[in-house]
Amino acid sequence: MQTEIKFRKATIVPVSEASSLLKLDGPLDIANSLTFENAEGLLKPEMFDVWRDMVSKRERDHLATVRFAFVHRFESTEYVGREEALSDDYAYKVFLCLRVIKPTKAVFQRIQVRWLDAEKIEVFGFQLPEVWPNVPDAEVINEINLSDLKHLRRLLPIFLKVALNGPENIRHAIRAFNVGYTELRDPTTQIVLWMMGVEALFSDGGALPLSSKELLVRLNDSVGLETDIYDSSTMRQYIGAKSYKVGELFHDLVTLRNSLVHGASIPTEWKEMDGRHGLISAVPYADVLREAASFILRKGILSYLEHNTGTDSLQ
Amino acid sequence: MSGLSEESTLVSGQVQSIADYLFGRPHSSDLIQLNDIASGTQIDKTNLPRLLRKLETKEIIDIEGQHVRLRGLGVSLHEERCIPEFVLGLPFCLEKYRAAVVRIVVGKVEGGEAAGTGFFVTAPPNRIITNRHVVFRRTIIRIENEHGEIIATGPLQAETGPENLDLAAIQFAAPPDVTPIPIDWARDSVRELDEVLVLSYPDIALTKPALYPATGRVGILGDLLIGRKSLMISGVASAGSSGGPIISEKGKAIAIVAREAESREEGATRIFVGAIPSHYLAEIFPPK
Repeated sequence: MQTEIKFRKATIVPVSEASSLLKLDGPLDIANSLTFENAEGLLKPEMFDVWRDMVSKRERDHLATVRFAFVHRFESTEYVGREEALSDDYAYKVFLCLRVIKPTKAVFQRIQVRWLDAEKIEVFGFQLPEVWPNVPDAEVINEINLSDLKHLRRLLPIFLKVALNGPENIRHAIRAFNVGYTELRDPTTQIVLWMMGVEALFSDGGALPLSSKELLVRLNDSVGLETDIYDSSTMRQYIGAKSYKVGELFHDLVTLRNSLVHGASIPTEWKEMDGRHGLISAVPYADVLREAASFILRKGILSYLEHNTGTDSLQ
Repeated sequence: MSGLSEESTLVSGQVQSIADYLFGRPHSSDLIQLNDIASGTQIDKTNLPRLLRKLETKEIIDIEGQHVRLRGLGVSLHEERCIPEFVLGLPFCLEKYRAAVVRIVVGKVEGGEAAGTGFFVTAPPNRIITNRHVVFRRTIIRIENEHGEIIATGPLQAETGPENLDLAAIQFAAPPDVTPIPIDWARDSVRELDEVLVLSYPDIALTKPALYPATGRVGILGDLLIGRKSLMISGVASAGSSGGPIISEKGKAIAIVAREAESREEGATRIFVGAIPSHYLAEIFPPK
């Protein structure tokens, strides 16, 4: 009988927006075969030399300066085939789950490597990074810290289960959230899509549309009408003491969404009205509503995952 | 295990030897001497430059004087074990895989026979991939090879996916002279304008069924509202029957023919083939 040869391989997903204060003693286990680790010794500039015709030197050097990355190790029984595709898909879902926990301006990029011996690795495939997402202003300085990674470790099992088996309305909500980051640059379309996600999320799979009253009840149960949309934002320290409660913003958000879907533009007073202090200048109220749409959808998804994580957690 | 001619077997073997030498072992640099390649592969020095030029044409290597410089595409293709297919092109893929494509004859519920196309795949083993609508609620009567010979008689078991996924797999071991077609499981393997080979057994009135090879280009890779991707192949010379493989330049089945459409404009007929990307086979064969 022929012995099956197995190759040691890994899918590496750089996490470019990791906190500069983040320090690890060693690889941090996130799930079986998946670690978050310091990648500085793992990827070296010369590994990308053969890709010079596809990737500029600047990009190659940048790849090799990645500080932290997810590393999904696997064994492949053949040359590139199903195991590689499965690992790629898994790595993307991990990245997406982290985006739900804390959105940053990071983009997904995948590098696949194999070990030539105990130490030496070779890059056999990679994907150029997507275009930078148009993230809401409040999220542009977000960074991934240890707490986010522990959160990821806890929620990843249920997230993967939902991605595979549903419920369909939760999958729909997650898809809307992600597409708003990966494929849309236009902020008005982002608002419409994220609000579609919010309604799907709170529908419990039942008939739509929900009445305003029912929507508010479910929003309160899931996210909390008193919750401040900037409470967990890195931007909070620059905003001042004023609170921005979900319940106070939601009515205007629905009004804005309704205007946009019927072809109207953003009401002039919302374009000109200061919504909050920003890092550089005041952020218009309409953009605060966009931040609210992203926040409500994300917190709603997180609330569902937290509520259903139960015994699925590794911890 | 191959329908290849002696010449094709020899050339593809030599290309694989070069690929293994260049990409299958570590080198001190990505610049390798021609003499080292000749001694490492045992290919004579008159033949070697011709073969290396084929690799260069496909942007797998650069030839710089008496040296060869490796390129990233070569690393990636070698890891996919498909450099001979990529270098020798779709005619080679046709020769290698045509015997894997079969005609499936089924009994219709209302009586009479109908036929579709299927193809043997490397993994999962002992499976013929076809469309769900070819076999669902129908009896598989027989399976014929490209010479019209019966290689299996029914009934045979078929695994089908969900109702909205037009894919199925028939359990049956490939005959020894058949080289099964590898499936491309990657979600991003299809690119617009890629040239592809479409193999199927079209129903042509008053004509004996025969394997019909056609080339086309990936026209549209779209997203459907149900969350799946759809694939349209354009530029195909003639419509084929459902269930045939769409083979990429890498020699892998990237999709399965689902239906054909014709459009007539100013007297000319254009044929489009709608196909299901292969990675959806994961819904029939979930990962272990």
